[in-house]
Amino acid sequence: MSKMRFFFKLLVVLLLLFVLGTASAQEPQYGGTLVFGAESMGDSFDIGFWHGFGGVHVIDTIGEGLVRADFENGGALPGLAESWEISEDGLTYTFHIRAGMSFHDGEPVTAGAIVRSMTRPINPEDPSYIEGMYMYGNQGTSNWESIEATDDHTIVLQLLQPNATQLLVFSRPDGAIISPKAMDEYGTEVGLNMSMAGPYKIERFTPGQEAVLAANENYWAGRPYIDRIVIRAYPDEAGILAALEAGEIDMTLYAPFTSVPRLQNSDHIRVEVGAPLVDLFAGANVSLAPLDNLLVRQAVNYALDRETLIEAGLNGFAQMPASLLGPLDLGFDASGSEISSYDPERARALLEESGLDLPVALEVAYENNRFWPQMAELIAADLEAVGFDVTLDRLDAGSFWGKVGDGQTQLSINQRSTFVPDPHDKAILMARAGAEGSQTQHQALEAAEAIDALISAGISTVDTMEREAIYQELQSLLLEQLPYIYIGYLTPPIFVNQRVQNVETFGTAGGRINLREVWLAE
Amino acid sequence: MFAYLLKRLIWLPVVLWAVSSLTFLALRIVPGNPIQTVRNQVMDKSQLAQVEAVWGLNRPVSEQYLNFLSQLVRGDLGLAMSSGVPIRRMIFERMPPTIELAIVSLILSTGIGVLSGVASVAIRSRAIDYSIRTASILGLSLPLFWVGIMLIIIFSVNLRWTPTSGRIGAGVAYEVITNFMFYDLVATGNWEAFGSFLRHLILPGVTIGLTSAGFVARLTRSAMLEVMNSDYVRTARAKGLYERSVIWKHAMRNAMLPIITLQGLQFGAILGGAVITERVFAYPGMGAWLLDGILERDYSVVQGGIIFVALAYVLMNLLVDILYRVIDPRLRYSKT
Amino acid sequence: MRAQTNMRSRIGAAWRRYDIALAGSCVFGFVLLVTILASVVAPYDPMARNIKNRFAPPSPEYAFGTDQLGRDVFSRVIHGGRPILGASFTAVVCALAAGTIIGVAAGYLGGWLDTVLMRLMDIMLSFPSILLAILIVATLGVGLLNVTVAIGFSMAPVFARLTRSIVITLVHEEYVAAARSLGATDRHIVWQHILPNLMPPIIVQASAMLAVAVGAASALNFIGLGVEPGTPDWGMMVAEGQRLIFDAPHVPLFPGLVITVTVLSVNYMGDGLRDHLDPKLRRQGV
Repeated sequence: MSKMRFFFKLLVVLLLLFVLGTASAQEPQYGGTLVFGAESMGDSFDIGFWHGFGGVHVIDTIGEGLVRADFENGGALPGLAESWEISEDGLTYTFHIRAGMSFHDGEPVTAGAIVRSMTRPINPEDPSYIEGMYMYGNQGTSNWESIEATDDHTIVLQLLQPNATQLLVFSRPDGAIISPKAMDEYGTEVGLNMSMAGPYKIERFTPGQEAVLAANENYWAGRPYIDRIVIRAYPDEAGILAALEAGEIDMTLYAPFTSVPRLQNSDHIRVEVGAPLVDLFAGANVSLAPLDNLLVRQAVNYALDRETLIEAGLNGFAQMPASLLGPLDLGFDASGSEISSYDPERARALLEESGLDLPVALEVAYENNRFWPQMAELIAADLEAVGFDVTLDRLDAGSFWGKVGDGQTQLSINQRSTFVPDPHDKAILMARAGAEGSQTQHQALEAAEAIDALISAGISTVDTMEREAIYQELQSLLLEQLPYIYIGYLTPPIFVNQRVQNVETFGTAGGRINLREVWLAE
Repeated sequence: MFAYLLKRLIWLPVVLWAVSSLTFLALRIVPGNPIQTVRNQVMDKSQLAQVEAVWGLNRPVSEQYLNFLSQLVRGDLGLAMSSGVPIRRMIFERMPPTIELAIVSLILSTGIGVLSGVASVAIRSRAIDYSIRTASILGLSLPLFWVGIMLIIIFSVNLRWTPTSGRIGAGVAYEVITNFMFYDLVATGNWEAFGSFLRHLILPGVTIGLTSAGFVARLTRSAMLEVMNSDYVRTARAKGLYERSVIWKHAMRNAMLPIITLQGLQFGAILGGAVITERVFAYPGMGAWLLDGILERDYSVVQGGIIFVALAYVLMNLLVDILYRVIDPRLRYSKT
Repeated sequence: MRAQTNMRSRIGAAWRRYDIALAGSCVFGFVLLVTILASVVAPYDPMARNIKNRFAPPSPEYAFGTDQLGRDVFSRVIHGGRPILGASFTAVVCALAAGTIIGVAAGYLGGWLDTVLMRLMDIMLSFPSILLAILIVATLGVGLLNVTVAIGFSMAPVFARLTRSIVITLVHEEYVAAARSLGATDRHIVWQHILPNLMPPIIVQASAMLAVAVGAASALNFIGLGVEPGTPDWGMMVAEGQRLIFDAPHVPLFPGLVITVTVLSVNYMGDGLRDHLDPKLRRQGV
């Protein structure tokens, strides 16, 4: 266990003790309705598509995959599979399915039903198949040689290549298992009538507005505490704050950070701090001038006054960065924190050393939502102070990703949240879209081959110790080449009504809320 | 009249074709495509190409266009590229809330506008005149997101009279038949839900209504002034006719034309254009949906949605024109 | 017609009639002057950050307080009129010119030209204007010029429709028919009879549309498609500050107030101008 992780856990334990102390250590209670304010509500919960975080929250609350992710300690927890074995060579997975479970529609959860749901995206014969489902790319289906239910309670999955992340990706929202009855009954519109096997079931769904979820009395781990959970869309930041103030919502992640100091003093709202699972960084496109020059990338790196960025841009809700991986990730290398230090003189010297004419023209692209505009503004000021001439390129999400995908951006600022607690989730950013579509276009680096080899080794190596070494090597290579310039680890505030107890702050920080253990005090 | 109607209806498909073609073209010019947007982060290059092929995005634009037209002619709006949901289903979800919002805001703005317009003339006070003028300009110039959040702060957060946002209270149970709640909730006798629904409509309705209430007031006022100064009212007065009925009859007839034009346009504008209001009030209507569609580059959402907005708009205009002809006989002889 | 009023009472009446219009002109003149002389008048650099002094409430030192980056809101308000007013004025003037030409052509000439032009306007209008503006900005990119184009483009049909509807009623007026029977050319009729009667409602419409344009520019900023962040601009300041409404209300409040006052003054000016120009109102001495 890394030092950082230990300190973080200590901090959380202390916080928890404090919270428990103030809540006078009550026994969990059953009952009540919790309203969760999301930034959006999708039009469907079809796990083949992305429906924004509102959709993720609903699927995480109603769905269950073979395993669940343990965001606090890393690794997988039992889900629909109560246990599993992985062969020595990492190619054969045998899952033992819990007996006696049923989907929300009453259909029994059998190994056969699970296999059918898992193979839905690669089975055009299935009545619920929709051409163009894309989220399943994450499930690793292209690496499956075969998957079959050998009996009602056993699934055997055979891989072509070892895949260290295979187990954890089953805990992603797109790994949630759908009832075969719903797939038959609703066909391609199954996403509007979702029936899964998680702790809550859909009572009513109004696309674009809200999902009303009711406790699943037959949930395998026992009925959850809260009777009903309403996940409702509040796309406007001031609107969500108003709803929080008016007592209409009990929990949200999406209120503006600037309101925290005031809300912390409020008598009915509490603010908890999420774990540092989300990376903020600037991707440097190394295939285009001027960022093809390492000295220029280093200059950008030292030019950033991260403490001010975090204070002014994020209201202090971030930790200083060290590397592409976060302090809770496997193989985290803290030595990068020194590299991410503020040294404007050095930045200017590096820029002069690069031989380019000052000021060096640089485009900074960013999305036009949340805290990004303000961050971009601050970053531009830092860069201009050391001899860059910055053009800010504000883009809506569509244009941003279009431009990134076409390799047209220079410096682009963005974030990566961990959907599963595995370092590959962040490393794959570079390999995604065959490198050509990534923010860094790192194939232009001399070290590209070495980087790609490490990314592949990270996923094809099964042994944890070996993986740790691989990711440490990858991190130092990235710090040397600096295709990414790190900004910070976001520790997002979680806004809850005082009556909401036992909030899980690890997965929540990365957008994976876990409401199964939450309860409401009178 | 019948020939005129026919002539206008013949234009309908032409307008729809032009609007949808323009939308199609505009979307292809805007950088970024629907698959790149969010999907970029979850797919590798070969998967991207595969999914692009499914939606035909790898074919030449001319071919995509012909495909789109042939689908359209068959009445097939396709699936939303981002969510896989049929567009017709989404129209069913999104169109009724927006129509309800448009109706409520028009009733509010016409009612408030006409009453205060009449009051300003009847009371003959410059202060009232100017407050109406001021209100009408404020209604137009104040950014809607600003007005919306102010109303929420005052009426929802401080006074707790109205809910902050949404179409109906969180978790309120109701049965969906037509998705027009004015019908559904009354038909099922679900008065509790109906009350919640009405309370949710007040603030967004007022926010949008404010943009035209002041205008209606001004139109009413100037029409009334004109009528009161006209010869026939003087004559009528001279003959000792009761003043109030004279004013009402003639002035309202006079004011109706511009008010109908204004509100007809406004109705059309709200159908797809209440983007900001719908966003601030988290109201699940067409505007917010189309905005998301544009930002996500979901071609099928924007194409399908705009056609419906345009259709509703053109029909509304037609209605306005017909009313025009009924009210103002002069136009019956015009060349159009 | 009461032509025999003496000079003095006429001036007095003019005062009474135009007082608010004059007040509006003064306020707007003041706003314009401050906007033009912004760099001289502003006490601080509108871009100067002071992170340690964020969200300072209004004080003698910082009249309107400081914003999220510790910048002086007062100086930003002084500098912030130029982009939004420039874009809005340009957009309205262009839309007015284009719309009037189209409307007069359609209404006066009639026939197939009328049909085609008006259906074209229908097509443009049936496209929700804010969505049209968003599409245009998304295509052309963020920036002031593109905002201007987007707003102007979406407004032109409004002027065209209004103009046409007025022109249609005007061509049926007795005096137009009389002029025509006396052998007046189309050009003469348009310039002498149509345009003078068209101007008052168009001017009022234009001043109202300016309000709409300012609102639209703010809305584009709210959606994230306006000027560059950090640019001092009233619309941007209100849009960026909206989320601060509970926590630092002075940040969005002052630019919002200034927008309101400016738009009001322009509209009062427009009303006065209309009263002055409207031949009918002058005749009746309302």
